[in-house]
Amino acid sequence: MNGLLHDPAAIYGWGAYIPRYRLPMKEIARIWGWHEGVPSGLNVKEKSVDGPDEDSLTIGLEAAYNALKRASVNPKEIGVVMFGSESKPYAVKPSATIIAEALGITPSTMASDLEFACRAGSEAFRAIIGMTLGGLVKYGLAIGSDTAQANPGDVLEFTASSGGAAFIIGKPNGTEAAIIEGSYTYVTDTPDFWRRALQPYPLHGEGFTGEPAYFHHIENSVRALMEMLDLKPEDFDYAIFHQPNGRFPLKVGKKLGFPKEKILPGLVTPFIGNTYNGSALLGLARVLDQAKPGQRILVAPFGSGAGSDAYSIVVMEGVKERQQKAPTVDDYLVRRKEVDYALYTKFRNIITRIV
Amino acid sequence: MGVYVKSYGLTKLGRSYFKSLYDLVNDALSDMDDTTKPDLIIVSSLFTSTSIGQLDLASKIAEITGYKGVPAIRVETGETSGHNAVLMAFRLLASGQYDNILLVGAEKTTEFLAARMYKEISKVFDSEYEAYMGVGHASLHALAMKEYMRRYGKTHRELAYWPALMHQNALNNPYAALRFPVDQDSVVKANTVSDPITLLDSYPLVDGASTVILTRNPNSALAEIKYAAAATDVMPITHKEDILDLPALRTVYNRIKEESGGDLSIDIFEVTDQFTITPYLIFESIGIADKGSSVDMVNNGLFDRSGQYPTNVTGGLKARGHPFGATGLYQLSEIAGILSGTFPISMEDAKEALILGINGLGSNASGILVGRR
Repeated sequence: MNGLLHDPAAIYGWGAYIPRYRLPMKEIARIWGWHEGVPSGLNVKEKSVDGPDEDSLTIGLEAAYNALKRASVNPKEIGVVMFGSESKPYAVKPSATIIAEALGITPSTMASDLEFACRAGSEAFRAIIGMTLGGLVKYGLAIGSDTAQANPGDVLEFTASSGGAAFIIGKPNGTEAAIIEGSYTYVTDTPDFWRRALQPYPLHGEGFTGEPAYFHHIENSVRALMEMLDLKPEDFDYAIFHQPNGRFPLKVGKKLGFPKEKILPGLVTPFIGNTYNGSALLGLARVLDQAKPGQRILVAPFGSGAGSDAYSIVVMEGVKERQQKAPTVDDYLVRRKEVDYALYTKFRNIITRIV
Repeated sequence: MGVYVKSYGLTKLGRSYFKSLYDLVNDALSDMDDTTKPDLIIVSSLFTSTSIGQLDLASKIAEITGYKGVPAIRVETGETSGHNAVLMAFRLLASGQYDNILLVGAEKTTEFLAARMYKEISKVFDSEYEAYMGVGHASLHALAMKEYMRRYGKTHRELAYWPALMHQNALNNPYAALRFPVDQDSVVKANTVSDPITLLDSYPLVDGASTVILTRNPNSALAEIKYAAAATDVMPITHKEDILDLPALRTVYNRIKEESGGDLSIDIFEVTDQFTITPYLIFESIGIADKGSSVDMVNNGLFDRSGQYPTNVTGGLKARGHPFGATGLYQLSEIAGILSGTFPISMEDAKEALILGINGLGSNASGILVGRR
């Protein structure tokens, strides 16, 4: 049933948000004594850092606000808000309700938080496709947002960053920005990365996060989607993969037959690090910021634990009038203020002041 | 009374995330394809009491290989465990007490995070004086490498001829873990592991298993074990007279030479090159190179496959991989395969091969002289 062809669904609005602060990789290497080849091997220059008054919820809200501006739909017509994150401010208490309330969506709505490492936001995206196509709700809001945690000194600290993206999805009505023509999800129990309850930082299986996790799942989801829709890599103008670093998306793209030129427009990790639930969805937002009607986009998020979704999205006429209605991903990429490791530890509550 | 290699089996070295140690052993047995029932099993493995939590591993191996009831023991002498398993089997067979001995070398190094594994590996050095203090496998070799470069005025780039050669040799070995070429510059520029040792100066962590049947029966044997010897040296490097010298290995080499009538004509050397510096120390300690001269000899191609002393023609620990307890048996399997023409790499004129192994910086040393049948 997973591979069942479904009716086309529509994207009405997309939005992004990236905090302004940036921590250069060389600063992390300086503090922890890493060889310079480690960060340069990741193909990431610096990472975005959430400010002292930001968290994954405020980031998700900003992105959702931008999506709503582009969608131009009545918030009261949104019947479901799903917030995908692995860095929720509250362990128990939904973040989705706060966002729904702030955007005027409540009270006639569903709202919940999803967790699946880096692909919870994508699970929200696909679940909402089903809810809108099934007639349960008219529009749905899917959000992927994180202020990703990493153990100081661990290699993950280089890339774990902050950012988010949001999408408003519904049935097509002719004015949509893009059509989702097919989707597929590939999931197995593969413990490549995890954080136990009450632990502050996640652990990972080093090389195990690569071949048996990231590559295996993305390759399988993308191949199944292309087979289902009878599409080839040549049929796509853009390919966006989950981007834990700047190297893996290019490698998996090569394995699947997508040239670098189709991947680079949606590759934001080299500039801001891995925004976890933002990651591939931020890449999609950036591509929608610049895509032209008629172009086809492949999106394949991945989450540890592990699973990957693959979507085929066709850009429609409605994209043009929406592109300038809210800040673009590039607007946020150029809005940067460099911080040093000391300020980063303060912003991220890595040092604790007793008061 | 001779001792012969009857058959051997190998698994491809690498990260076998979805196979247990026992799966790997049975894969090697399948590859060996020899159902001769052994009258003794000798198991060689270093980390299994931690990595899979099993003591009396030998009995477990006897059970899972279908040889329940056959006596089985485990040999552990650090990185020379496999070599000493062969030595034990050689002596027991030569004594006439046994007819067929199954050697099983197996290691699983990717069960845990690397930091935990490297903590285990550091115990090949002195636990009291070195491992306890946080000294790692690479760091003592780094001290030796630094001292070698200082004493003889050699550069890292010159030494890096060795890892580049090993990667070249491994290209033709289907069982090797690292089958890609590297050049000397990329070795020097790679990420530092323990200065001056870089990632490309080091062996890869791998999983793997090898099985060998040694027999007294010369019929249809692949190769002959002509002699095997071992010796020990002090454990902490602070007790060594010279960090660059391996006296135990020299003892082993001279012993094998004496047994061969004072003259050795080796067509293939197979040595444990854990790190870039190790083979140079080995060549200079056994005397086939003068002190400080082996780097030039290696750079002049004398240790290439076509050179005067072809060494590690299957890629060495550096590129084939270093499955610790299984390493000595990989070396023996490959050598027996090359001498008998049953391995993908062939050296038609080769008649005699010498396998040399050391633990750490030479606390244990072992040598096996193998001849063509």
